[in-house]
Amino acid sequence: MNRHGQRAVSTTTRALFPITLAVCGCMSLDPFLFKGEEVDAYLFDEYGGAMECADALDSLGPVDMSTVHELSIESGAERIAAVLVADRTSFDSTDTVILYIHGTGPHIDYYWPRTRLLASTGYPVLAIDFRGYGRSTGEPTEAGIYEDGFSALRFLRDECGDPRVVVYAFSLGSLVGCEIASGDESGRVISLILESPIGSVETLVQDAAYIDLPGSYVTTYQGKNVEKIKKVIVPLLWLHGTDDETLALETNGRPVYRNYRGGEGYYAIIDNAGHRTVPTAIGYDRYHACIQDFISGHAAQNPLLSTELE
Amino acid sequence: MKKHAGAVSVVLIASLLLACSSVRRVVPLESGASAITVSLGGPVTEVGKKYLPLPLLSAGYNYGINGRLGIEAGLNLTGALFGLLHVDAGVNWYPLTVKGPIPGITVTPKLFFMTNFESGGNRLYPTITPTLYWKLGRHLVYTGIENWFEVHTRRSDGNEQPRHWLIAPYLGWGLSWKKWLFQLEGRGYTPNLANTGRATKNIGFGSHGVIGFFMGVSRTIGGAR
Repeated sequence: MNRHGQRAVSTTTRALFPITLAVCGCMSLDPFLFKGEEVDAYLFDEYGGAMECADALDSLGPVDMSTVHELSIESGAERIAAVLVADRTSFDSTDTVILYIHGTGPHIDYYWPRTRLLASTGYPVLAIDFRGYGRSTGEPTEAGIYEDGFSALRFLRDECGDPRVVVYAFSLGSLVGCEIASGDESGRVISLILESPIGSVETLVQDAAYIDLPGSYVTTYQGKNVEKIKKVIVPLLWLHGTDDETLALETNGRPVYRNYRGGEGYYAIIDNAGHRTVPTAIGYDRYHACIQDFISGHAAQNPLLSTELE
Repeated sequence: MKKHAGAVSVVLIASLLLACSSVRRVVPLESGASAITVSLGGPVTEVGKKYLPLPLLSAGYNYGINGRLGIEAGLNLTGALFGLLHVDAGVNWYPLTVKGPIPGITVTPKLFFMTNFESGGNRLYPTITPTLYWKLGRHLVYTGIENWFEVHTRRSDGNEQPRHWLIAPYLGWGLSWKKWLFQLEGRGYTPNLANTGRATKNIGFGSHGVIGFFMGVSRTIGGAR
């Protein structure tokens, strides 16, 4: 346990574990593509570990814990943990809730500043941990994390008054974001926001290896966002940094946006922004404006957003 | 690790290419002699918060046809652990043998073949590797450049394949003892290419390339060397 009561795994153990498994005959890297970290409790503002956009907490001040609701959502045979940041837990069908789907980082606490940044736009935010992450049960698989995304949509429909949903997906979480935005049959998903998205798992492999290696050499994950995005008909906002050191803009985000057929796509390519620093590089005020304008249908008036790719 | 757990997987993915080659036998074998080499090492990569040369294992076989020609073949054992058949085969040509300070030259054109036995899962990469080597008593020093050629023009997701020639210069040292040869080798993968925009975190030459380290041991069978 660390000082916050969370289970700590030594860096050395985490470093040696995958290598040991590989050397001992692990035939796939699937277990490591999505590898969460189990915790006994979420700590939110009090979390002492690394966080993305951590400086946002300074400007936002302490969270009003009466607006933080910990939830448990049934997802197949598992139960996934979720946190709703809102002044209530039930909404009208005309309300809009942001469903935040994080990347491969360990759990909700790691992305807590991002969740709060989104909540500070005034929209309620539901953040989920995939199976095997945080307080969620089970182990992540490609089908499993997609099921988790659909389960969150179902939960909002059945348990929260069926609000309209904006799906906001970051990094590898965009695999889930594109899946549920393209496969939503309820019609309650009204738009999709992709920040630093992945094009496909195969591109991840090829960017790492420099050459045209099939992704199937090492993983069964497909994650072809470049194909799924063709079925997305709701408005799309794509945010990506020019200096993305993990998922290069040109080979990931750009092909995804290029394949979007929905007719109402907006994007912002952010100079000097890295993989995890798009909101910071934009500036939090402009980031808020960008999200608010897009959700409220005023994206065309936002000077940061464009429509036609160069 | 905490920041990007998924990077671990990509680390190993990348290593499948980057560690394709093992340490090589650069000195000609006598006619009819064979050598078996086992090589361990790979690109120095961030795993957790540590940087380690990945412990990737491969086996090689050399055969001396005559003083000017030999053949070699290899098997990537780490790839096999992932269900990947990854083999290579080629020719050793020795246009110049070492004479005092004048280095010997070995040129090795090879084909690397990989398959996971699935549709669309076959890949073939031609390479050519010129090496200079010097012998100082039982010591061997060698340097060269491995040249990989990517023949595909397109990559996944409609992306263009921007690179068709990948280089990996290397510098090695060997110590012979009876029929054994022990080798240490440092390698610089693609030092001309930026190493950012990839999920893999390696140690390179600043923002370019990836550094790798290998060790190998080989045993000559037959012949007098």
